[in-house]
Amino acid sequence: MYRKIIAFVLTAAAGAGAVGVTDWLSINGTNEAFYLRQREDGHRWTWDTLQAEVWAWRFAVGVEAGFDHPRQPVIEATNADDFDIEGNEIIQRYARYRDDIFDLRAGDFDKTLGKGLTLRSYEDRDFGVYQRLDGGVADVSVAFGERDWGDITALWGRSSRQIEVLTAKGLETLGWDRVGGGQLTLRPLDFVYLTGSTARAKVFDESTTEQEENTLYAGGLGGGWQYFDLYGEYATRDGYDAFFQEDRKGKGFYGIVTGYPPRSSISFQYKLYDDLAYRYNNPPPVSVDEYMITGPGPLTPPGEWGYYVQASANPVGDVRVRGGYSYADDKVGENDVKAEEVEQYFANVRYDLPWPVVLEGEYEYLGTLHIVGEDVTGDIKRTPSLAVSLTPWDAHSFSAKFEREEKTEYTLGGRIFVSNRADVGYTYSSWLGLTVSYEDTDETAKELVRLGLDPFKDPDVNRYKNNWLWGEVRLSWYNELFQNHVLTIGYGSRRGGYVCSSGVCQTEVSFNGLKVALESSF
Amino acid sequence: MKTVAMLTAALVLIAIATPTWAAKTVPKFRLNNVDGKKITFDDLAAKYELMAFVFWSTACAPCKDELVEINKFAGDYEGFGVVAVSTDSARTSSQVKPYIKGQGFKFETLLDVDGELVKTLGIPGNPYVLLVTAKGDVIWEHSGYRKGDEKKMQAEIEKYFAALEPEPGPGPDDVTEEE
Repeated sequence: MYRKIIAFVLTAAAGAGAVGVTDWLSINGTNEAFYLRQREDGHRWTWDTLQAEVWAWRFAVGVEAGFDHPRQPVIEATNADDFDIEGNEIIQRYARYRDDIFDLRAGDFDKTLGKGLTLRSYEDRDFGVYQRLDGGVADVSVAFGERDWGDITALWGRSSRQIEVLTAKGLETLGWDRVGGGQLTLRPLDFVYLTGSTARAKVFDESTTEQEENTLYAGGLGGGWQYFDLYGEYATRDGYDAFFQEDRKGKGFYGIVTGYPPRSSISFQYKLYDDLAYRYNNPPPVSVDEYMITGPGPLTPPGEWGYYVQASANPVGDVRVRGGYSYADDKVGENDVKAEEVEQYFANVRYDLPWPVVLEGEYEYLGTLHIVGEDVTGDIKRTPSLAVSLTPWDAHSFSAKFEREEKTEYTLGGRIFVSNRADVGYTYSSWLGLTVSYEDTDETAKELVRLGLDPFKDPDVNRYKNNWLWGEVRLSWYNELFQNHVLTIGYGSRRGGYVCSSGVCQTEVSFNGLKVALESSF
Repeated sequence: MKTVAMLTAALVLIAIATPTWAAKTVPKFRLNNVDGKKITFDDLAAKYELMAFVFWSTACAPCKDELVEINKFAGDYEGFGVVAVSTDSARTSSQVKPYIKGQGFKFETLLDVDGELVKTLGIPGNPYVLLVTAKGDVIWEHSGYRKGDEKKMQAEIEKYFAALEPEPGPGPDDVTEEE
C-alpha cells in the first residue's frame, strides 16, 4: 500500500515536472541513501530516507518515507534488536494549504506552544525518537492592511508514533494519546508582543493502568528596542499524575534579557521549572549546551532552576569572542533536597589573521555533581581545543583541529581520563573534501570501559577500542540538471557521538568499516 | 530483499532525475524574524534581487565559520542580501539574536523553530546555502562548510549579476555618422 502511494506521488511529481509546468508547480525534497559494511563480521546496513514536498499553487502534499534493511543502529541502542530494525514505512505524510493569511495542515506536524513550556511536539531522528503529532493544525495571521497584528494557532492530534521505552517489564510504549492546544500572539506595538497559550494532553502509558491528563497554560511578554530586548514566559500545570496517583499542580518560568552595547551583546537567562510535567512539554534549557537536569528520580517531583550569562562580541574587525557561564540545580522548593548540580562555562576566540589564516581556540568546562546525603559523586569535564585553517590559494583550503578532553571521575576516586582528537582536512573549490580524524583515550579508560564503567558513554559497538582512525572523501556537486548532491565515502573506525566532519555536523554512531552515503537535495 | 533493494535504487534515481525537468523554486512561506515580526518571501524579494538563504544553528560550529566569511562580502553587491535561517528549536532560539547582533552581522535572520522551511526546501542538514532570485528560483546550492567554500558562492553571485548587466553598446568608433 505504502509503496503504491510513494510510487504514485513520485511518478506524478516527475510527470508533472516533465511537462515543464514550473510556474505554479514545485517539487522540493531530499533523499539520503546510506550503506554501511562492518569490518569485523561483514554485517551490512542499508537505508534510505526520502522526503518530498510537492507544491501546486497554494496546495502541497508532503511525504517522508524510510526504507531500512536494516537501519543504522540508534545511538543509545539498549539491546541487540535495536541494531537490526527492518522495514519500509511512511514516517510522515501531510497535506497543506498556505497563503498570506492561512496556513492549514492535516496529517503529521511539529509544533511548539509557549516556547515549549506548554507543548513541544519534538522529534529527534538521530536518536530514533519521534513525538510528532498526527492531526490538524491551523495558523492564521491577523493582518489589516500593511499592519501585522498577530497570529492565532490551533491544533489537535495524537502522537504519530509512540516512543518505545525499555523498562523492567520489557519494551513499552509511551506517547500522547490526545493533545489539543492553541496560541494567540498579539503585536499591539512594533516593539511589544504578547503571547498566551494552552495545551491539554493525555498520556498513553502502558506502564500504568491509569491515564495521565494535564492542562497547561502560559502567558508571555516580549519586546525589543535598539539597545536591549527581553522576553518572559510563565506557565502553570494542573492535572492528574498517574505515578503519584493524585492531582498535582506545577509552575514554570523562563526569562531572558539581552543588552546590546556597541559591537557586542550580553544576555541573562533564568529558569524555574517546578513539577511542570516534562512529558507534555520541553521547556528551554539555560546552559551552554542543551543540558537539562536529569532530576532526582520519580520519588520527588521533577524540578530545576538555573541561570545563564552569555556574551558575544566583535570588538575589533578580525577578532570575535564568545563566552558563557551557567549554573543549575534541582532544589526549587524550600523542602527540596539538592540532588544534582550542573555548572558549565565556555570561552571562544576567533582571529582572522591578515594573511589567509584563521585561528580559533575554545575552552569548555562541564561539572556535574550527584548528591545523596553526605555522598557526592559526579564528574568534571574540561575540553580545550584549537583550530587552524589556511587558504593559500582561492581554490585550496587546509584545516586542522585538535581537541583534548580531560574527565575527572569522582565516582572512581577523582581519577582523570584523557581523550585526544585531531582532524585534518583539505578542500578543493567547494566540491572535493578530504578529512582524516584520529582519536584516542588512555589505556586506563580502555580498561574501565571493559569493566563496564564507561567514562565517555561510548556507543556499544566500539566499547573495547581506545583509538579510532577515520578517513573520508566528500564530493559535492551542483548544476541545474542534477541540483545538489553530496557523495561521501568513509573508511576506518569512528568513536561516534556528535561529530563535525567535512564541514557538516551530525550525530554519528560508533562504527568500524566502510560507509557510503549519497545525499541529494532537489 | 531484491525488491526492496530495487525500490530503494529506483527512489534514488527518481530523486536525482526528477529535477532534471523541474527547477527548484521557493514556495510562499511566512516565518518570524528575531524581532518577532512575520516575514514573507515577498517581503524579502521586494528588498533583494538575489538572496543567500543560509541555514544554520547555534550549536553548529561550521555554520558560524560560514556566517563570518559570508559577512565579509555580504555588503559588496547591490541588490544582494543574506537571509540567515536559524534551525534552532524554540528551546534555544533565544540565543540566536544575541549571537547575530553581538557578532555584528547585518543579516535578516529568520527563526524556523518547527522546521517548516527546512522541509519545504528539502534541507538535509546544517550548514546549507541556497542562492535564490527574487522570482523564487534557486540558482545554486551547497551543503556543508569548509574554509574556501565561500569563494565559490561569491563567484556564483558575481556570475548572476554579470549576466544581468546589459550588453555593452557600440563604441564611438563603431558609430557611423550620418550626413
